[in-house]
Amino acid sequence: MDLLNAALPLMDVGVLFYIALGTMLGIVVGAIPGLNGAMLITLSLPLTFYMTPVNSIVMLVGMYVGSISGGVITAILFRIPGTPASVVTTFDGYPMAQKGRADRAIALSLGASLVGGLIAGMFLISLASLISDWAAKLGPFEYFSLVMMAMVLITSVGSGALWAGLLSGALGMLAAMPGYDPSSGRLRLDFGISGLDGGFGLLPVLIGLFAVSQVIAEIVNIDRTAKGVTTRYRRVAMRLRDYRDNATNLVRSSLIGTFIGILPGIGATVGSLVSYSVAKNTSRDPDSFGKGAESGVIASEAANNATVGGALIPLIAIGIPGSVIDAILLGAFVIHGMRPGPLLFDNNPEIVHAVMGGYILSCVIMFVALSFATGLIARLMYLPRQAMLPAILVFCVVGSIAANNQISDVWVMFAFGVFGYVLERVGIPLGPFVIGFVLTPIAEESLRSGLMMSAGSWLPLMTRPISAVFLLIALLMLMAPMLTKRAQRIVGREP
Amino acid sequence: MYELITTWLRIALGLFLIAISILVFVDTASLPGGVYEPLGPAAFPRFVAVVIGLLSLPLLFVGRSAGESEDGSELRQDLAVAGLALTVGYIILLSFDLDYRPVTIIYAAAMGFLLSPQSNRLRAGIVALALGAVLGLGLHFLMTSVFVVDLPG
Repeated sequence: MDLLNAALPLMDVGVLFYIALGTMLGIVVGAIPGLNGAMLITLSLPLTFYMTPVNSIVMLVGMYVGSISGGVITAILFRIPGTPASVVTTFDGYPMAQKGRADRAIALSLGASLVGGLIAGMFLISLASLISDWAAKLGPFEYFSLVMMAMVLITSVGSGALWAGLLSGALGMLAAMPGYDPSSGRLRLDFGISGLDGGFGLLPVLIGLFAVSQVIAEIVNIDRTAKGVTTRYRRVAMRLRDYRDNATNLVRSSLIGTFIGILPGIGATVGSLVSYSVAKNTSRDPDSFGKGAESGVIASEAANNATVGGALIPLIAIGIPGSVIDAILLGAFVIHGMRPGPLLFDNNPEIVHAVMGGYILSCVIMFVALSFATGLIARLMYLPRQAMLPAILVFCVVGSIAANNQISDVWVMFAFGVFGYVLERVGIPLGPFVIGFVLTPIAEESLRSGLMMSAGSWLPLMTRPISAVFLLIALLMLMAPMLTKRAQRIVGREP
Repeated sequence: MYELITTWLRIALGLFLIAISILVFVDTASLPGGVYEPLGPAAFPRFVAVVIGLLSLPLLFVGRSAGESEDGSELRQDLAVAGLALTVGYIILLSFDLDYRPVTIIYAAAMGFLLSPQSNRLRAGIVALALGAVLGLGLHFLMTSVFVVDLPG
């Protein structure tokens, strides 16, 4: 029944158009090193004001899918991943290209991406409503603990030191607080500045962090030209025999990607890394990994596409983003007056079905488009940056103005852009900042509601089983680096 | 040079964040406690401010992070500063409600010229002007006529 419901929105030509448009734009942006899906989706958010909620959400989901897959072409041909999710594909995809087997590498990666996406899509359709029903039973303490767990997860598995990720998350939380306190209606943290009584707008903050900071980094690196081997290739599709021979790897990697995607706060890069490691450790020839192993390409691409579908599950079922890009998608829902979670299934079921159907169709469009347009996409590497970067900056300014028609939003965008660049330059990741920024209103409101209900007692945080489990996971992830070091010392001391 | 500037940025950021956390802590002192709930509007910001203050301390003492470049010779920090200055000027002009189109044409052309390679500056200038025209006029049409977004001027 859910499968039929997911197919219904696809009967609308307008919806089909926006899915295709979003996917193609995502592929183009994903293929250009220095640009990424987060930037594209953020810059597209202001344009979705003028679209229906269904059209805007399916277009953004299409951009998400396309951008994750678009980076695979340059990753294989030039060893330059278009997006971070394609980093692992370079381990074996580029060596295959160097050996004259670029066509085979691209065919395998596209086939694996399709399978990963479709398997995750099936889980999205079957699990989302079940998880949503379960989430309806979550109380305020559980929501608070879940948000804390999501923030700790993303900081603990991301790159860089744990303290840096936690600092980033805390900064995001602080940035979400100026303005009127939702519980008491009191104005706080405005410092007497009239523009701060509404707080920092979601759009200018996201555009600044993900677009402007990236542009600044690209300008700094503008003289660093791409060094790569351009190899000739023919268009070769993955054969049915390849699907059969690699079925175990395909299914396993897709499942790993899906379930890692479901975990709040973790994204495609981690999914492809874990899947690659498992494929290597279970391979009959692990030494071939890193030198052009087909299994390596299949494992990473199946997983990173599957994480997209997996990450959509907690987003629409609970309202907790499964990755940084999902946090931006959460902003899209908010802009259209919707709150993902159990209520979305009751109040806006057409959106839920559109997300499910749109995601699956987007995977198919991605497969077809990349299969036929590989050569064209590879040429995107050579787009002149002196034209691209000013255009992006102008789009950033226009996008920030479009939100509320206020020039102060442009200043906010600029300030967060510079701030975001400085954070990344000193080694503080931006992902936790966004998660903190987007989830803090939920976390604070949940905790304060819960404490009201419990007459000020904090005990339910620990005594309610689901809340306790979430907090325990968060605590374990926080302590994991220390425990790992201790275990290594103990192992090192044993005779 | 790149690493030296990064070190100074790290220290400046650390001091800035500690100052912000103190400011937040002091500013929230004037907020009343909760009437119907135990925490009140000040509790969360104060807790986060303390966390930020403590987690900013490593910025002042920790050495070079893994992400920093070893070789900064190809890095154009000067271009980035010039680009940011141009962008500030662009935003200031838009703040005075000047017409979006000519301001954007000048800004985009100037940025395109600034970022273009040193060789063949004439060609770069022509391309930059064309880019400015597309972004100034084309984008103005798209936003005002298609998306019905008011732009300055």
